[in-house]
Amino acid sequence: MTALMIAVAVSAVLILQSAAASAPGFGGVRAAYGVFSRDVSKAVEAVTSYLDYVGAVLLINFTENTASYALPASVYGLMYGYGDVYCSWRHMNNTISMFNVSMLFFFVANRAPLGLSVELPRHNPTAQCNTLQFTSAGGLSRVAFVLSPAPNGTLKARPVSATNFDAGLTNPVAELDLVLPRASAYVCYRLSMVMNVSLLALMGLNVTKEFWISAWALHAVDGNCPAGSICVNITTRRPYIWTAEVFVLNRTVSGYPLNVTYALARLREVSLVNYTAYSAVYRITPDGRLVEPVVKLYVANVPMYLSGGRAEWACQQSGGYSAVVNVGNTPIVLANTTAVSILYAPSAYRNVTKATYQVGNMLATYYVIHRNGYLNFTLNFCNAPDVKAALRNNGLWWVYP
Amino acid sequence: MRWVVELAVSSFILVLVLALYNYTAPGSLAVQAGERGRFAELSLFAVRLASSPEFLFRLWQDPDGAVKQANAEVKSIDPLASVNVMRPAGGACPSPSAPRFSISLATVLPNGTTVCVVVRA
Repeated sequence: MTALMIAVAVSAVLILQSAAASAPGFGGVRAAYGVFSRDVSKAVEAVTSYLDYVGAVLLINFTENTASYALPASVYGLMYGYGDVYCSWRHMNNTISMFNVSMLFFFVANRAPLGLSVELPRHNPTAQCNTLQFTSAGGLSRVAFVLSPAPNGTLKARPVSATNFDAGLTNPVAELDLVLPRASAYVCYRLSMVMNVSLLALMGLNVTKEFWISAWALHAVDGNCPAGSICVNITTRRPYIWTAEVFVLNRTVSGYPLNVTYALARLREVSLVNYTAYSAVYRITPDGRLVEPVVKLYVANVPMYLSGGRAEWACQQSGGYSAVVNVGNTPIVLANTTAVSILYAPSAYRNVTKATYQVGNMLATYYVIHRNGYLNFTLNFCNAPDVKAALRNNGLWWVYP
Repeated sequence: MRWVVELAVSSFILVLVLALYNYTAPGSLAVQAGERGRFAELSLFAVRLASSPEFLFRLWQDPDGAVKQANAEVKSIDPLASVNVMRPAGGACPSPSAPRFSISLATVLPNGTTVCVVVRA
């Protein structure tokens, strides 16, 4: 009798154990709630990590497209506020189409295997085009990307014509690369997606991811950042989980016709001066002298551009004439879209590159005054209370710095 | 009374053998639950690959290395499983045939290329 009871007990245990085998979704004996909540947390983890990925990829696209294409259209932004041309220029369209591909393909093509249905956000233009905003029809899913300020540039935009003037010499220019960042930059993404997960019977799951990075360049502030090196202070939204990588772009002029481009500068040292959980200060010491340097930072894979030199200019007068002289170490950029009568004959300019870009069916001409260069005028503006305003009144817009 | 003890012990052994057979037979509840568990882990692995920034950035820069690494990792879930990265067909990711399990998830590389991450066993 005892043996029979033992036999029954043992087989009961074996059968029950096999029924309660620990498989997700295999509810029976185990508490269904435990399995369910574990699946929900896995689904949320997968979707949030994809949203983080889309955020990083979009910031990469936005920054690089702005540095590559935005400058020709930015003069229209200056003249007419952030008008239609700038906001529908190539850097915006490329970035918006990247967003549409990455959201549509993932959330629509994976609808069946993941059991997801989301309200897909669409582009919702903002007045200031340094913010890209997307909202869904129901207003539940919201996505925003911010570049402040946008690093206007021409790294991939090719001019219609370009010429370099240097003290009487006139040289054709084949390629002109410019990146015009400020000394500080802020980039941010915030993605908030509302979705239903049918496999888990979840309605209205709201998944939000947010990240921002701010960075600024410092010159000769203290013993840790002496003159001759560039310090970069980085602050992020999340502690620890980011890495930073630093490059410096240096102006080079080579070949004939001239290639006025950037090359990676050789650095003697990149060292960490100070750090906390949320911030870090790097000191960059170049190997040799830099010309119009641009610091390119990658923080958590996101590129950011910072101005690596001091922006300084002077107005030089002689009699009825005047000139804008670049005494700093960043380019000075002026632009016009209509004829300007105040410019002196180009033979007087020194170290100036004139480039004309096609914007839609219009042309925009940029005067880039390089380091130690000057651009001469037939009028004396130096006594004007605001030189930039005086030039603007004559059709020449001050673009940078 | 001895035949009672004989019967009890022999029936106990019989039940034990039957139970053990039932536990390890391919159609048994326990084996099926184990398969389900592995498939759940494999599909979770596929979802993680398709949504992981680290994997997708590496896949963009070094496709062969990323797929090789993913294959090495998926073998720890199921020794017969494998990971492939394929091109989507007609805007969707078709699931290739596999004897036990196959899942295909759509994802996008940092340069905008659409790819499918396929895990099968």
